[in-house]
Amino acid sequence: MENITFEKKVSKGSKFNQIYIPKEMAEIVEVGDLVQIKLLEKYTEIYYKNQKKLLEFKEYLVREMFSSLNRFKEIKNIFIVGSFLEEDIYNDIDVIITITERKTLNKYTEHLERKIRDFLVKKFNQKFHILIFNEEKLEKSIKIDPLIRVMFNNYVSNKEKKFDSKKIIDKKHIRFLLMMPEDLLEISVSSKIFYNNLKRLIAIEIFLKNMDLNIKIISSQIENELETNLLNKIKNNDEIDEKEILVLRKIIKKKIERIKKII
Amino acid sequence: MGKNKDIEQLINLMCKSLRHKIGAIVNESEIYAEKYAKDAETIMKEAEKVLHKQNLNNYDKKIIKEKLKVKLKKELEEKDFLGDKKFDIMDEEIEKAIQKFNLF
Repeated sequence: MENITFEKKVSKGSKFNQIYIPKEMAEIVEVGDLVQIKLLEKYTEIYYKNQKKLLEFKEYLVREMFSSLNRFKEIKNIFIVGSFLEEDIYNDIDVIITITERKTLNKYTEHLERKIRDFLVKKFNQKFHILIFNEEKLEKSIKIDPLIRVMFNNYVSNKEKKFDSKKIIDKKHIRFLLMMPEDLLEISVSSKIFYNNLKRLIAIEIFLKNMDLNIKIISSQIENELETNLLNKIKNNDEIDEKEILVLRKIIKKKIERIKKII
Repeated sequence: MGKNKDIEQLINLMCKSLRHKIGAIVNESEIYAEKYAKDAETIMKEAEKVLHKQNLNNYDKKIIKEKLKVKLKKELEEKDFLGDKKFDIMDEEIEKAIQKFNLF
C-alpha cells in the first residue's frame, strides 16, 4: 500500500483548497481511505513591478531562487533588481531581502548575507550581490535615498509589496551621499568608481528636482554628458589617463555644486 | 612617484576610507550604513595598492600613524552631518587600519 503515490497541485476551492484524486486511481484510492499529504515543492509566484516579463530562462531561475530561499525562515520579501532584469549579459544578480528581525546589527546582517550568498552561489553557480534590510528600514530608505529609489523603480519579487512613494529630502543624508563624489575630486580610483558616482550624482539631482527617477533616465543623461569612448571605458572599468580623469572631475565638480545649491 | 609622495597619498587614502567607515558605523541606526560602508572598502583597496609600492621603515610608519590621526580628526570635524560618536571610535578604527596594513 505504501507504494501508491501520485503528485497533484493544490487547487483553489470555494470553501477549502483541494487536491483531486486522478481518475485512473479512483478505484485504488477510494472514499473513506486514509491518506497523508506531503509538501514536495512550495509554489512560488513572481510579481513584476514596472518590469517587462523576463525571458523564460531568467524566470525559471528566479522562481527556483525564491523557492530555495524558503528555507531561510528570517526572510520576508525577496526583490531582484538591477542589470539582471534588463541586460542579456549580466555580471551578477542583485538581491535585496527584507527580514523579520527588527534589529539589523551589522554583524547579524553580514553573517546572514554571507550565508545566503554562499547558498545561492553553490546552488546556481552565479554571482550574487545580497543586501539585507528590515522592512521598516527599507521603506525609509526608499523615501530618502535616491539610489535605492532608482533600484526600486522596477523589480521582480516573491510577494506583492506596495511601498509608500512619498519623498523626504534629508539634507544630512544627501551630504553623506556626496562624500564619495567629493573625494573623487582628489583621489584616483578605478574608472568604474567614477562611473558609479556619476550615476549617484545624477540620481541625487533628479531626486531633488522632483523628476521621474529610473535607470534609463540616468543612463541617457550620462550618455549626453560623456563622449562615447570615455563612457565605454568607465563602464567597463578600463584604464583612463589623467586627461580623462580631469574631464570626469570637471563634470563631477559641476554636479556637486548644483546639488549643493539646491540643498 | 617618490617615497614621500607615496606616504602622503597613503595617508590621504587611509584617512578618507576611515572617514567613510566611521560615518557608516556611527550612523548604524540610520538606513544607509550597510550600503555605503562599501565606499570605505573601495578607497582602502586603493590605499593598499600605494602601500605595496614602498618599503616602509619604522620611522615612516610612526609618521603615517601621527599624520593620519591629525588629518582624520580634522576631516571628521568638518563633516558635521556625521553622528557625534565619530570621535569616540576614531582611535580604535585608526588602530585597526594600522594593524591591517602592518604599520605598527
